[in-house]
Amino acid sequence: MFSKILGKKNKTEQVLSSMDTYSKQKRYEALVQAYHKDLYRYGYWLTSDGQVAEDLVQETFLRAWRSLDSLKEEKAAKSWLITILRRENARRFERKQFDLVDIEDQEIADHHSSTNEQNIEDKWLRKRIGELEPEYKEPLIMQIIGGYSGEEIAKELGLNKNTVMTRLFRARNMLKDALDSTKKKARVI
Amino acid sequence: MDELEFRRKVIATPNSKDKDLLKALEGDIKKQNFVSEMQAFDADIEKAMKVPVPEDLCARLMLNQSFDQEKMVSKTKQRWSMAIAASIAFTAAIGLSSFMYEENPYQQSVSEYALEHIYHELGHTDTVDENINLNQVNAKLASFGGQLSANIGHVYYAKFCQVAGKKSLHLVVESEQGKVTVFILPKSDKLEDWSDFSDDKYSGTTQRFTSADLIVIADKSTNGNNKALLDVQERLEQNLIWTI
Repeated sequence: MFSKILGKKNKTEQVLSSMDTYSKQKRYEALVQAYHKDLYRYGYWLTSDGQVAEDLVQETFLRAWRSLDSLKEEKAAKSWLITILRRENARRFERKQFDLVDIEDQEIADHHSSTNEQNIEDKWLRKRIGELEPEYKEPLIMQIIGGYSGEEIAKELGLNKNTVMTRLFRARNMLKDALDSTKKKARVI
Repeated sequence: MDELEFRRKVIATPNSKDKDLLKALEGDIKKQNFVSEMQAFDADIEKAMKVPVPEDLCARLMLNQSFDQEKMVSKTKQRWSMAIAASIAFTAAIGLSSFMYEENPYQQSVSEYALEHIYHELGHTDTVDENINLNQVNAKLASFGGQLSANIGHVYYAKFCQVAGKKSLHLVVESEQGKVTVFILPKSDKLEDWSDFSDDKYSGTTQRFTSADLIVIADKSTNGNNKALLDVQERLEQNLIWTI
């Protein structure tokens, strides 16, 4: 009787339990493989800091592991993970401990990239995207990195669809205008 | 669909398969060109957003899960052990509870944490040189209530980190025997066993202050019999002032 109470399982239960854990683990690993890059990138654009993005992704996947049973459909996995990530990001600001994140605006450069690989427009675009106000930036990254539709973005952010469409419109318009005016300047020279 | 609504829809959602949108494109070259242009621009944006991802992130995420798995298992065992121990101790021998008590899953040994942290950042922190000046170091130390009254040597790296759920200030400083890593942590009860430690590659030492705790680690191959460790530890001790 005491074995049961102490959490020890009989042989059959042990086998079933390790099979459960094994399949849970396989499921978790598949999620990590499929989505860790998108999640990192989402976090990167959300926080403008590669290191913070890494920490966020680690926290996100840890929470995902712990509540994996609540994910019913694999096709809902990506948005489920993004929801967790956004929640974890919100928690960062709620913590009462001293703020450990350096919020330097030019900290957009991450220490993993090499300038040889990026072409000029990539770098320029990244800077402009980073400079977008959060209310325009987040719907854009949700759409492009998250693959969300207008309705899905509206639901996640608690906004009405028209507002979301306006923000997406403005975000791209701002990027396009900036690009066009830069090109014009180049031609004049 | 009027011109304005068309433009707004295409710019907001360039890859939309909306029926009304597709209908508006039929036989209209100008509109089709506009859509192509916006789709091409969107492809550029998507490419730009795909910043490089740290190569070892995937592996670390897999590893974290297995660490957590072990913590969960001992947590369940501990809950039941505590329930029984509490009731027995209440009615009979008090000593029984100390036998039943397993490792607190929230505690981690200092050596385990320190080694986990340094391995976690290998490949970056051992090669980088950001040449941090004293003011910059002090700006970060300020959050611990500490200040360095003088230079402690060349600082290659100084950043806040979070590893194994614990936040720290991670410094890499020079010594005659090579680079030395220093972790400065806020006081907490999450780490136990503050003593010297080592594994095949590193050796480390610890120091506890009223306002913060220090862990100093050096590569064994360049450490010269712990000289680097003691050297840096002494420099910190002599120059650290605590204001809290």
